[in-house]
Amino acid sequence: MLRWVAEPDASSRAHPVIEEAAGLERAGVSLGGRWIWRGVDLTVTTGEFVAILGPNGAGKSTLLKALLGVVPLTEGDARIFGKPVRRGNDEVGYLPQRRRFDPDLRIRAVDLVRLGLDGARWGVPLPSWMARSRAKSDQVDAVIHLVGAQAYAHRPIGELSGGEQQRVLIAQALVSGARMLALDEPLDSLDLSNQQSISALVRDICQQQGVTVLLVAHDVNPILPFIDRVVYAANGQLVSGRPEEVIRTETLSRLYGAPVEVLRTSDGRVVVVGQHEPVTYHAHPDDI
Amino acid sequence: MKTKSTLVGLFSVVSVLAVLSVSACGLGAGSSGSGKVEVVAAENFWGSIAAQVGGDRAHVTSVIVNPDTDPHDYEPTPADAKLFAGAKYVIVNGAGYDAWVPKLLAANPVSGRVVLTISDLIGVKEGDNPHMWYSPTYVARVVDKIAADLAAIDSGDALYFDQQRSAYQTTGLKAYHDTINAIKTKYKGTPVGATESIFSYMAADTGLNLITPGDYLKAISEGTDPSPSDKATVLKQISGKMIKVFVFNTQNSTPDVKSLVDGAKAQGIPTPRVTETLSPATVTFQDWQTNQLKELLAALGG
Amino acid sequence: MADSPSWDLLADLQLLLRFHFMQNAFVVGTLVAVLAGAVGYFVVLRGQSFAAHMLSQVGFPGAAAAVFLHVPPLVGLAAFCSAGALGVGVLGRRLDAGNRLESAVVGSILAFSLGLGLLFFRLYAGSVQAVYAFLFGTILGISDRDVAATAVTTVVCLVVLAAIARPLVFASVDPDVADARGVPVRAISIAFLLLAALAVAVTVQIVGTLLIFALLVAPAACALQLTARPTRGLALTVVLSLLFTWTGLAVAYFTIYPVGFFITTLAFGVYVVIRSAKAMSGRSVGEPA
Repeated sequence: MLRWVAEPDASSRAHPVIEEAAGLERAGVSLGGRWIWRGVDLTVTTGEFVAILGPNGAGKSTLLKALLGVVPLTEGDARIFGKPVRRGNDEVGYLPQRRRFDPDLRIRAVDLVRLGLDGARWGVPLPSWMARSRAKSDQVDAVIHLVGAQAYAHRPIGELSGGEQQRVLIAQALVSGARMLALDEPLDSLDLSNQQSISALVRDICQQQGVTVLLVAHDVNPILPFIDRVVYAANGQLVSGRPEEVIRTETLSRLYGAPVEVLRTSDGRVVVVGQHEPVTYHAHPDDI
Repeated sequence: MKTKSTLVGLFSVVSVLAVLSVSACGLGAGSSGSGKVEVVAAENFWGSIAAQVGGDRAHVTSVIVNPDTDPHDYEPTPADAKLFAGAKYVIVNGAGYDAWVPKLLAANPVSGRVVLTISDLIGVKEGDNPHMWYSPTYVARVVDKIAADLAAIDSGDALYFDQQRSAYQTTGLKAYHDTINAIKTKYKGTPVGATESIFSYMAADTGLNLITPGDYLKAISEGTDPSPSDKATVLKQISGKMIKVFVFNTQNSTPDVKSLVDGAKAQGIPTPRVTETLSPATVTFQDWQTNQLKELLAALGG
Repeated sequence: MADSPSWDLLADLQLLLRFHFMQNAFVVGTLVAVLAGAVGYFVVLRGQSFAAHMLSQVGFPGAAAAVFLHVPPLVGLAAFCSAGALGVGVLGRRLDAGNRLESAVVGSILAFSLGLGLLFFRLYAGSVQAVYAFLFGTILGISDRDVAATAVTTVVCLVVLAAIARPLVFASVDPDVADARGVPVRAISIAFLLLAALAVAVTVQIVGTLLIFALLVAPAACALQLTARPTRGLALTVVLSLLFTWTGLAVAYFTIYPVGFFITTLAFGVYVVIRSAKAMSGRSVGEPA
């Protein structure tokens, strides 16, 4: 069933279904004998755009992986749309933290998206003249249009720029009808304009398709205008709250256990400065 | 599928094909004369013997004729396969020496084709010393067998083949046997060394005492590394002048072996040469062997 | 028995198929080309050409060990090929294939097995050369039994490959997401290597190391230069593999030179021409949008 419609249904947005998209209860993960985080209670409602922030190694990726069923919880419960978390759940689309694709990787963007639809099924794809196969192709085309990648969808993925690859990967994450997107540092290797356009794309998908978004970021600025909530991971804890509540000097200093300052620039940007971290405001070179 | 990439692909294939096809000049294989038995020998030393026994009633082609070709790891070509497919009588050394031949024969069975595997005739198994053409005893048996096989294939010429056999044993191989006897008479029991096992049978039949370690001889023959202790023994035999001569297979030599030979020469030990196949490729079996035996006799002291 | 090609292609074809050994060569050549092409597409897609090379070499010491232990050589050959494949799968990265770590692992396994080969040949009283020659076949020396064995192996391997094709592609190009989607990436990677090991173990005895390795890598290398579409890439690989094999056999038949030379030269020549054409055209020659 195609989930994406060209025009969003305004009425459904006015009365959103209140539903728990993701939930953690007394959850903890220990890896290699060390607790990454512990005693976490967290609820994400459907349609929320949640930013997951924090220093390296704090367990941001682990949070995503726990909700994807890739990393099992050591204690506590985790639920996705009311059901226990399991690996291979088509309801959650995933963009792992990654470097670029090998430039010599010989597979097209559209094939990569198609793999998101049925790549996990055994056997070979049905021939393209069969109706079921046609339907799948249409599904792939629809989601490619949704992310705006139609101009380069038939080129090898390795030849695309960082921003183009991210769009394709978002399409891949959505194609099987995902209601939630788990994005691990999708903006990290992009230049400024791509950071903004990808953020806007994710925001559109969130608002127009009702997709819940969990986005891990190093730098909160590109997504700050769009986020409903922030989950901050540091020192074995996960703190959740509204952006203006969490990103404050006192809150962050307490979490770090070290002096951290939150500054606002003259044009309203937030900058977090701390002793253990270099300045997290990234000025990326053009990444084509 | 008329995309640009496909056209590039097709163009590439066609252009490379065109270049390769230029090399496909037809090979005019020797055609058999009418009435002759078509004989194919894997190696030219047996082929030479077969040619002399077969005379003008047999047409003999040998596959390994180039002295630089190593029969062990020979890669057969379609031309070789065609030869065997058209042969009435095939002569194979066996004992693992030319294992590629049975494969070619199995790929193209021919009714009525007779195969002589010399190792089966003599009773030499795979793993034993395969150099049976260096044994005058075995050579004599092979001559008789070839004549018998040819007579069975071409019964009309049975008498002719028997006459050829007899002439070859008595006259053709006379100088060969005479030189061997000369060596045996004068130098029986003399300690000698060799670079590899090709000389072992000849040493036995000439009464010479080959004291090079057996594992060393085998390793060099097969192209594997000898053990350090064996190598040390050989060096000791050379430096201590415990051997009268050091027989050297020039066609199966490594830099290591070459340095041993040079060492022997430096000690004043003569190094008479032998080769794996007919050398040069045009001489007859008996001339080739006799020349080598004469060089050996001279090296021993005449 | 003069054999020359002419412009009459039908007559040439009759000449080519006149001998039983050539008939077998074409039949088995076709089967091996299809098998090696299909498996080879994934080998090159995954960047595992070095592992493929290892597989074509590692069985020989296994055969030596088997002969020494008075066990059929094929058993030792297959055992070492499988062990090599398992070693690469287990010691390599969990999800990623064809990377630096894998290179080092492949090289180490290959070196170790060749060293074992030295040992077993020392211990084995028989003839090293004989084992080697009996073991590694030549496309001109294919018996009818070999034809049957190749046919069975080809069918079995292609069936298994078809069964895992989709998740294998997924695991090859996007292992992290595939893993998250429930694809057993590591198990599939190991299964693929074992499949390749089986294909190599059987065919290396029939057509030799050079041919199986060349057909595992070269046709796919050419095809993947020309297309990035999986189905098309696989099909094109098989087509090129067949083309190289048939043409190499046919041309070699009319010359005095070995078959392997023509097949590999044709393959490499085509690859160079493709790369040159792409370089001269400035951009990659990809499918139109």
